[in-house]
Amino acid sequence: MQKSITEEELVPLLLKKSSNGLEILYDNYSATLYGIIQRIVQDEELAEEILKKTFVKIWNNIAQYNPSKDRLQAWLISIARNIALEKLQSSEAKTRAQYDQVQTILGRAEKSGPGSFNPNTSELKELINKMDIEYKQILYLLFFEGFNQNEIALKLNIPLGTVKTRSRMAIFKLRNYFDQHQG
Amino acid sequence: MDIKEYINSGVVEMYSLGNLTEPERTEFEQKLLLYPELGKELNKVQQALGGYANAHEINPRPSLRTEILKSTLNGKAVDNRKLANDVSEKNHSLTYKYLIAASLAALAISTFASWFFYSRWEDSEERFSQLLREKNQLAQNYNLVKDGFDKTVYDMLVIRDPQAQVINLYSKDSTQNYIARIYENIISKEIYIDVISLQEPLQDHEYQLWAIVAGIPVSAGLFDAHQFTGIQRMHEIENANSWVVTLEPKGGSMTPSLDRQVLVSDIK
Repeated sequence: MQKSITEEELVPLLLKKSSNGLEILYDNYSATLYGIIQRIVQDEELAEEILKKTFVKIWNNIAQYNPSKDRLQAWLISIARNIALEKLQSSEAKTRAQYDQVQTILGRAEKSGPGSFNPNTSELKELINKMDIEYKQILYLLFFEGFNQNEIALKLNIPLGTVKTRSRMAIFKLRNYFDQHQG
Repeated sequence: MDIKEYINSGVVEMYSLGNLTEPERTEFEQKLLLYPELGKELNKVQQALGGYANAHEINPRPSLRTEILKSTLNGKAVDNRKLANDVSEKNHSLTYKYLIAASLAALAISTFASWFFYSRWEDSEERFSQLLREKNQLAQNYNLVKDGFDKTVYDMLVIRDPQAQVINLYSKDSTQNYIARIYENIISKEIYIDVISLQEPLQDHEYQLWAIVAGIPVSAGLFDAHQFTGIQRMHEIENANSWVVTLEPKGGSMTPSLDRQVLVSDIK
């Protein structure tokens, strides 16, 4: 693992199409991106195809990345999420999320605990696990199921205002964690 | 809407999750250029969601690494399963019949077709990479223009800041019409110089800005004379009674060459 390189150092390597840069990109971000994709599509084989497409897209579009606007990781995540969510809405995966019963989805949200073991994220995982289920659910539905707040309000049969407050609170709890850990 | 109210509406979170409509997103991105606090907020939310994603990471099977590195470097990722599905769905019955009635003619036609489509594919591939190159060029040009625009917006924020105090600098030599302005932010103490009209410095020379504090000149740094550079940030110096610009040898001087004063301000 080559974790020591910063986002600012990695981007120029990718712009220069350095294969070393690509390896670092893969080693640093593939597990996060694969975790997202796998949870969205719920199919290992399809998730691997999408991870492949994600890297090709990152590689070909790196010139469009604007560091003054986005963190690199956020940009990578948005690419992976977009491809996976698009796939989900396409005919091939129609059996999934949009058509799943609310209870099935909520079951997934409840079990959405830790993925691979990584000491760097274990504290954060614990924070997420200990979050009230109302916050955990909404975060999961927004991030991994790609629902918007209106859809969540309908699915869970709660007022839109409540969904909005819970979304902000859930993200706020995560932010708080980073504020405390950066002094 | 006031920017705090805008942030409190939860728009940053929804933008980060890709949940805004097209017009809402455009509005957000415009505001992003105008309000630095919105950018800070976005950064925090992205960090939080990035952490959330990290906490859900799953290691892909190790052999996928080589596969993906290879397909990425080749610039292609073929969805094998999709291809297989397409082929089997569309051509299943036809292919089956052809197989039964397999004739030399069909073989010849398919050979020809393969060759024909292969060459067409090669053409398209080439045109595609050409387009890709052009697109990258455009993206780069866009970034250049955008950097310029960002700098202009930033300059405007400095100049329009209600806390900015303007100090005019005039030619020392009354036959010349050189002008520059200093913007001194009375809260943040930041000092900026805006060159409006000034001749290019002599070769191996640079302009240097000095603050006169209690009668002693203190260097505020070197700057470009170009009027299109926009405003330039200088060292922060408090309690200046007046300001002077001198022409100094390249790299600047420790004490000003007072016989080479180019611009001076009024004395406070």
